[in-house]
Amino acid sequence: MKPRESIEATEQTTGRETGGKPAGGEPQNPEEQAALKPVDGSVSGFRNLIGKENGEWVTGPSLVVHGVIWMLIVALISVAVAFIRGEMEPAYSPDDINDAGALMFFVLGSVASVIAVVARTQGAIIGEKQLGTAAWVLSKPASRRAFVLAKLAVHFRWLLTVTLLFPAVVFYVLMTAISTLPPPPLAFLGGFGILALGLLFYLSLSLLLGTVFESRGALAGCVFGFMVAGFMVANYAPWLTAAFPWLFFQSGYYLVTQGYIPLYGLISIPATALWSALFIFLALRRFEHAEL
Amino acid sequence: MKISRDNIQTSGIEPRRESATAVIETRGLAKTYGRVGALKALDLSVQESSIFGFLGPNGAGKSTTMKLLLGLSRPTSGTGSVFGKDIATEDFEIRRRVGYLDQDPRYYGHMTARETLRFAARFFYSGPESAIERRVEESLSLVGLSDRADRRVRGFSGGERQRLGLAQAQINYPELLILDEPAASLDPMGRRDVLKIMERLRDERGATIFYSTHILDDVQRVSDSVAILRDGHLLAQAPIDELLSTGGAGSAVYEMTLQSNSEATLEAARTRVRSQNWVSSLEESPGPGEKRNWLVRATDESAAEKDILRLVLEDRSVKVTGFGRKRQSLEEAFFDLIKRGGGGET
Repeated sequence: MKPRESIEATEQTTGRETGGKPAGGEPQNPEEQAALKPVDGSVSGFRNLIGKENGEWVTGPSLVVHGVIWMLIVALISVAVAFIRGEMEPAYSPDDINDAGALMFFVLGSVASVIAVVARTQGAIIGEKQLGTAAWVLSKPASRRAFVLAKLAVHFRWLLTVTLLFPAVVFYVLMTAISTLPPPPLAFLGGFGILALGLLFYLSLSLLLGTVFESRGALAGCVFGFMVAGFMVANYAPWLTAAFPWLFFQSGYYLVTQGYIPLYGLISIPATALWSALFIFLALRRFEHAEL
Repeated sequence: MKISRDNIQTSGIEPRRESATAVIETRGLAKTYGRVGALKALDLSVQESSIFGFLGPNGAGKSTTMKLLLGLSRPTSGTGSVFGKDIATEDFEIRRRVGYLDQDPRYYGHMTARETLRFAARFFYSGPESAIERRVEESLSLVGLSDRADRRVRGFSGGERQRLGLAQAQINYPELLILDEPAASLDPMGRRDVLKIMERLRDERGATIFYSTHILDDVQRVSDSVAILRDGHLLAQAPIDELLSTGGAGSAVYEMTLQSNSEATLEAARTRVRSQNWVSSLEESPGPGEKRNWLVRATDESAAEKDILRLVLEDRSVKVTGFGRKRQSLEEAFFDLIKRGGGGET
């Protein structure tokens, strides 16, 4: 079968890298082996993949860079604008200062969340397909559903934290300090929730497109294009804005400053939630059949 | 050794009937990408606890076959099973019992080698951290990466990634290892280590190893059986000894060194041999001194071994100084099959 001399020749090399021990090291004892239980379930590997995705966020500069950029743009610029308006217009009441700041916060927050989604997730699925890590992970008993859902959960967690949550907290505290009147907390929380839903919409769209395209450029173009199209649609077919999160910044702003959400906003919130659920469903379905 | 159409499978010849347990079985397995046929009606059988070399030029369909077996890609037609489980519908169950090493293994750069193995192990097991850590340590030691266990993978060389790949592929003590060019990026010493590890996994754990490679010497050294693929077609599948001794076409080749003072006597011997219906060719070349070398290709092994010497030695003035069955190198067999496959099959 195999020439004997070749086996003997290879035996001489086995201790080279292992400090003289035979290759293979000490075999695991039977009790330890028995203690290891096979992982199972329809989202097998989900917890493991969550750990991996979290690791990608927290090791390296990504978290800090995103945190600083979005804090500066979403929180500090909004507060600065409100502060300057208050200084320029001595007649401005605390409510007026809060209004000015809230408008900036909701506009910048909604745009920032889209940019952050594209920047951070355009390669989430495409990159792994191209690099081969998706094929590696899925050559293990990991479900494809777990692969996509782990990305959704972890990216949503960290993008929400760095683009909206931390800036919102800082914005709220600083605005209270500047205007001397805290914005209504429940309404502000509601506005934050609306922006968070918008972020989920664009994130699920990005993941779906990641299962469709093989190019990051195409994905980024589609997500940005969708956002920009919203501003044009608002002028020519305003009724369409009720179906998508394009005017979420207005809904949040009205909720905080006027205490209500306009009708188109009331419709667009459940519609956006439904779109997000549909995108996630389609992403899971497409990835289930993807060739890796 | 018996060489017949029953134990050599080539294109256009009926597949052999296997008696031992087949770990991998495919029947008419095919895959097309658009209009390109990457794999065309592959009939393959890989026996349990064997090292099975899967050979073929680039683009022959080797990696495609491996991905189909793992459920990473879906067959266009045909069927396949691993451990008797259907590759199209039970791929999750298959992957629990298989270890896989990709042709160009890539891992998450932010992880260290140890973290990568821990990550791989947790797809298979839950349980005490100490048990998983023990498995990780054992795997690092197996491939000689213990001293680099806490270095980030993004700084690894191709050879180190390959070693890590082998470690992660066997972390679950798989019954079947599917290795796509496991020694491709390794230096000669690393290659020998990999071959040794493959042998140990087969001999000590009873694992079946199905691997592709371009390094024919390695295949000849460790493989029990071989399949050769070209342009998506299976050209041959056989135990390696049979492939090397026959060239894989159901014929036996005999080498003979002979001597005679008379050219007429030699010509008479040539005529006697060539007149047998089991002799398909006789090639002669000058040998050392006055000797001649003959290469006789026969289609019936038993008839050849019984009669060939008798036919030559019928005239007592002919002396035979050497006789034996020709054992070709795998390289010769490979190129012979590729050449014939290229002429007739594709």
